[in-house]
Amino acid sequence: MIDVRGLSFAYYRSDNVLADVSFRLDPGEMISVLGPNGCGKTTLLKAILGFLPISTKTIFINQHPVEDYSRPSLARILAYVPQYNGSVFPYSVRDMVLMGRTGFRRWGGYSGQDRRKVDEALDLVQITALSTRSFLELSGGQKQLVIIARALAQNSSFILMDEPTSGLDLSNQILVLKTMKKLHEDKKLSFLMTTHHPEQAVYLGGQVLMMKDGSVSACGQAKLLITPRTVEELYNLEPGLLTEMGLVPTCLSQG
Amino acid sequence: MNKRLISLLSIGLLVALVFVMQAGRYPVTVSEIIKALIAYISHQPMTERESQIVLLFLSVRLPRLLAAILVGASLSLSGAVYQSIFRNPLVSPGILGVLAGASTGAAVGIVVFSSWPITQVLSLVGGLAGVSLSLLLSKLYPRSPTMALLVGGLVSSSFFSAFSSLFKYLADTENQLPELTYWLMGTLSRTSWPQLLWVSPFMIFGIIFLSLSGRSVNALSLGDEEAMSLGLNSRSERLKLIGVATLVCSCSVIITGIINWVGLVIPHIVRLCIGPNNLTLLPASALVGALFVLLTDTVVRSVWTAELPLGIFTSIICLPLFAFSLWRDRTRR
Repeated sequence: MIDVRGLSFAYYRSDNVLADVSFRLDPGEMISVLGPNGCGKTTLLKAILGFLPISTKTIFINQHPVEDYSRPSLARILAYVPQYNGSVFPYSVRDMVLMGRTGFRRWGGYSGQDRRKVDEALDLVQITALSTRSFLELSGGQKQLVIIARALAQNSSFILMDEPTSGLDLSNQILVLKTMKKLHEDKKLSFLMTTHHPEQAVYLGGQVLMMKDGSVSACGQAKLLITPRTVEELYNLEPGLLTEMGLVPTCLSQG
Repeated sequence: MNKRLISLLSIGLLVALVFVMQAGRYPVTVSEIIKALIAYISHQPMTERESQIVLLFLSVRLPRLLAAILVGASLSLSGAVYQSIFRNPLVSPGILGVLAGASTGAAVGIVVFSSWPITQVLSLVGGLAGVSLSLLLSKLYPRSPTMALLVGGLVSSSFFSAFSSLFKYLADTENQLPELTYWLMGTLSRTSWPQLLWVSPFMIFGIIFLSLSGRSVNALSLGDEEAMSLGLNSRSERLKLIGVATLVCSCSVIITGIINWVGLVIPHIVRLCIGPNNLTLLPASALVGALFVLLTDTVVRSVWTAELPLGIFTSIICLPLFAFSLWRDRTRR
């Protein structure tokens, strides 16, 4: 369980990026974080992953403060799918997924169990056929699937994703979303993802956390909470503009 | 780890070692060496040639061959580690200012103190100062980290070369100056047992440690945050790896002075041939680097009557190799 209780954070010598953020992600749940650029979505993910120096104990992972975890033990609970993968070397897909096993042993090669886990992960995300390809040669959507497979190989029950569909074309977006939904439903994995697409939150189901200027402005069932009006409010748009411009996906207008 | 490849390379290195034992300005065969050594160990009476062979082999050739292997492995392996953890395939101990820094430190140790432990410490401090200066300078220009690191290394190298030049300028022209100049060019010709026995434990420890660190190096090559999310304490792990890589480089500087380009070109070519996975890349780079310096040094010491400094020769060989590897890298993508 990820439990955030009144989290505030400011980067060195600047105003608060996050102000009194609270929410809870239970095992098997899904939360989409929605909000304008710069509202603190990515900072929130980084804080939960323990990348940022948080002064007070406000983030609890399975009831323990995140600061109390060692890196390897935290990696067995939380996995991270960053917006852009930082690889500059042409690792094979299989090697990339094997890196999900980094925290399990310090020395030498990968064990038989590591390899089995990786085979399973590749199979679950249905990219076994890509396993010898170079990661750098893949399409954006395929790359995301590889990183999701790596998160699965990490064996953690919570997967934190930072705008997993940004920069992807429509078919790749659908590929990634379908994979997430399938893993959520079949494997009961929990996702916490940031997104700029309200309709993705509705498609995935679960909760939505609306953020504005570093605070939570609304939180609730995505299907109920996301309406053209709440979205217009969140992004400071004139009321009725989305409908007027014909930008309301059918899934939203029903709500 | 690709165990078959690593065993093949190890066998290759052993075979090469046996082969180059025989080469030199005083050619001997392996069987002669073995016969002479057996006679020496069992205190049997030896012919004049046999005692010459024992002397040559034990006090000149063997330390030099071992030094060549250790230096080649250290430079190439630490180059591979730097390239992966700085996420920049164009860096090397030479380019990051490690060699220049370490040689400045070692020059102080040799000229001022003439003691191995102090030289060792100063050369490590110099090497660490060299790489830290490059990193610091690269942080000043965060918009293009890859380029900034290269330029930072360039500045750091020239900064420490300036110090070495200052030392040359101040050195006594009769003895110290030629000594220092020749040493900075990079040569294995003055390898001696006391020196080798002092630095080799550090080098052997460092080479083994780095060769087995592929798991962490792989994760670090994705950047700090990804490495942390994969379960690695990236800051301390990175510091540890930079420290050990710099240690083995500074030891190699003590033995040979500055041997440029081996640490850039060998890992580059090995990565091109076997892929970037550091579990195999690191031990393979160490073995290929050792093989490369062993063979190059053999050419240097046996082909011409006047011995060419190894550092000059490796630079001459490595340039075309590097150009070729860059071209191959481009055409493959």
